[in-house]
Amino acid sequence: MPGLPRLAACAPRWPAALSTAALALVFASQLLADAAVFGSFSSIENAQREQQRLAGLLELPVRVVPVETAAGRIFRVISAEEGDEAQARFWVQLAKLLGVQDAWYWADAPPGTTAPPVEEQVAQAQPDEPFEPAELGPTEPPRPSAPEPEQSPAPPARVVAVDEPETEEDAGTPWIAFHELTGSLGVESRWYPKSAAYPGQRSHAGGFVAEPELHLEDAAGRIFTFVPFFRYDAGDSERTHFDVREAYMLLFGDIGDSQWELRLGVDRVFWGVAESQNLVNIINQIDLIEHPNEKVRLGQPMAHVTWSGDWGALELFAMTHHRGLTYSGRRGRLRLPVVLDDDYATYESGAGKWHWDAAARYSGSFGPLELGLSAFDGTSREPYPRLALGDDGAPILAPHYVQIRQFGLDAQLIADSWLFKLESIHRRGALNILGRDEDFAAFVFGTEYSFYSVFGTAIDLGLLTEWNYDDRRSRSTNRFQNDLFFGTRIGFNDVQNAELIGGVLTDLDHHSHFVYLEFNRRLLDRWTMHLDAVVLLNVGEEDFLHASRRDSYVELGLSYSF
Amino acid sequence: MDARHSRFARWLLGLALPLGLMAPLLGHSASAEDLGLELATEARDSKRGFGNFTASQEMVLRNKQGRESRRQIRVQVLEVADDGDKSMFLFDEPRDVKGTAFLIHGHKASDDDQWLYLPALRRVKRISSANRSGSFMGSEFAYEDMSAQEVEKYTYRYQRDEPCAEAAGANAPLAEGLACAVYERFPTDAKSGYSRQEVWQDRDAARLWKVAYYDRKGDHLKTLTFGSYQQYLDQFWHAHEMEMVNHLTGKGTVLSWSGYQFRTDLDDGDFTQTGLRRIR
Repeated sequence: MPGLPRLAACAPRWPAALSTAALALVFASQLLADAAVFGSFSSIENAQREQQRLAGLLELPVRVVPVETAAGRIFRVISAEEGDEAQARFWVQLAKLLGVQDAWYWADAPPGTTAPPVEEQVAQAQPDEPFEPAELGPTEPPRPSAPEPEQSPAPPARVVAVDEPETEEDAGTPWIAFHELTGSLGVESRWYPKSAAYPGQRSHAGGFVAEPELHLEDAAGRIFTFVPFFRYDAGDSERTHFDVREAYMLLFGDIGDSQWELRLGVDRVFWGVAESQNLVNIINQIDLIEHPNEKVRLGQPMAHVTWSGDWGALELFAMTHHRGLTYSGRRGRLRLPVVLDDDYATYESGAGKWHWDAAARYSGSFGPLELGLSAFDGTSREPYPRLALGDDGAPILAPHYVQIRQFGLDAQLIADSWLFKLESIHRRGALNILGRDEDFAAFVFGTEYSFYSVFGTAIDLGLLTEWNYDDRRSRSTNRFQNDLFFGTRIGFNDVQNAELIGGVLTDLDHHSHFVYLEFNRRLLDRWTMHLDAVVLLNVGEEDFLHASRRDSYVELGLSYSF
Repeated sequence: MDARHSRFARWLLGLALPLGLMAPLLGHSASAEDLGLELATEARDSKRGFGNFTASQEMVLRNKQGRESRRQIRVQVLEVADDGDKSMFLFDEPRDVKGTAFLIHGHKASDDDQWLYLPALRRVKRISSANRSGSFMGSEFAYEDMSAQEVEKYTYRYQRDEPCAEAAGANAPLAEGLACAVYERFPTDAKSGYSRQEVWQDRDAARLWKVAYYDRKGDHLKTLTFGSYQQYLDQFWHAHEMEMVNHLTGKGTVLSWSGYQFRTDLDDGDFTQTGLRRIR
């Protein structure tokens, strides 16, 4: 609808609009009608009910017109005035004032200014009504890539969906409505410059890694995801491993103003906010053999229900088939003097790895604050290593998994370029390094500050500081008992998406340093490279990392994404 | 009460119409600031009422030597009645960032809330919105250029009127013969990378045809031009081609939109952290 010249442009806003309205009246054309649309319905009965309600409410001639859309025939409740755009727009505003939130302006409604009786409207709804595609820009040719844009107006869209037996009509369509296969393939080579601490350990590791992802969606909107993972390592046969990272079915929907979601199967769930470790992140076992930073996780079979709304999200988990920590074999680096062998795993629970673990989490956003509260009751993900004899008579470490109960808190506060992060847990039933029952609390508290576009370049620089603490201190079963972390993240924001991440974890009790550096960038459209380094410095005998003191390494990887 | 409302409103309309007609004749003097704000408000109002939409973006990044690289992004936007809109960006290409998603809850009066979904760790990360001026995906578009231009986030000054055709980008025959109002807008956010922007907006349907960006030093940094406008729902105009040229580096980014779908069944639940983990 070509607009009229805005002669009143120098007047304040309301008079401008009104004078335009007046001009529109003066120059009213006799083309298609300008209409205010108050609602759209798939059933004419509902449309007529709304018509009667609005006719009384607005004191306007309101009528119902049938419209053909890609989603089928709908009935719009409108008031129309031929060639009077401003009048129609005024009705839209008026309707909104009176609570018809979805009113909108329709430029080329069918002409006719009076409200015909109901019988006539029914007569109008003839099946041979010509189909009118939405009008494109007057001078632009229709683009084949742009589909017919209008589906059906907002809230009544659900009325359309409910009333029309779409799935029955689509009986001929295939069961799979959507499918997508993506993922990555990579080759990696890792080199340990220092000679091994224990006999048999190799100085090279390397091989290939594959992680395809298959997503399917059926006609009923159920989503299926399958993500297998495979690594082949020429240096350590234990590092050659297969895992089902994800294999689940996902259903979701609305209940009033809130939403529900159900995930059934193997899945990965991430909780936490910190960088040096994620204390609260307990659902999935660590795939430690992948990387000593403990970030890579194994798939966990579970049923996972989410209920969410304005107030946040409540999630419940039921898990079974406990996954054992992955660990280097005899030839691998980054291990204890004796190999931890998952084949000899023992459990406190009589049900063993089939014990049903339960977890719950509430998470919510409160302005600049992100808050998570979690509880877990079940089989510990952290093994207690017991000395045992293997089948061949050689000593091994048998992982023992006890029953624990853990409460977690994670929070992140944003203040401009600052992030403040806290993760804290309290765990009952855990064994300390001496093998005795000891309840404990631990936390990681930190800040992150970001500089954007440093020195006028596109580069972003983030600085991180975190303090890790475990109140068992020397009786702790991990390396984060009293450690300070300094890290940096440099995003180059270039076409190759180059990024450099580095950090130093300093043990305040034992004065050792765990240094890591990761650089990755895109080479070609589908190829990326990464360069990783882990350096262990000043690791004394009493340090948790002592067995790995000679296992600093450099890794180069090349990855293809599809 | 409703009926009385309506009667009063019509009475008001009847009174205001002749007054409105006379307003230009009276030569009512509005300040350049008022006129600028009025134009920006008009542009905003012309976009309200869409409900929600989904669309695809292709971004072509071109360096000084003319080498190109491409990004494919899907966009979902949900209109929010009394606040900034909610939007979701989902990256399809380059393949190594496939599945990365970006959720924004826009606000008129305060900083936007932003979350990033990192598919490798299945991690949702709340991120600071302080990074206004940083590059979006290595392109010439900054984050602040990609987010909704809320009226409240600028002050304005009307400059002049001139033909749109001179300002408009390639493939914009629609601009022929249109009159454009030119006005400046000044970001109120100290974190913005710009001291001011100059906007060319037509007086026909409040479409933008050109924006000139001036950096903090006052130098002309970038120019954005619009082309291939199409109208949806007989009401909403969307430019299908947007080209940003950086005058300091000689680099450019062309953003092409396609596949607009309006009033889909998206709702609030799709623009949550749970929705962010679910989106494909």
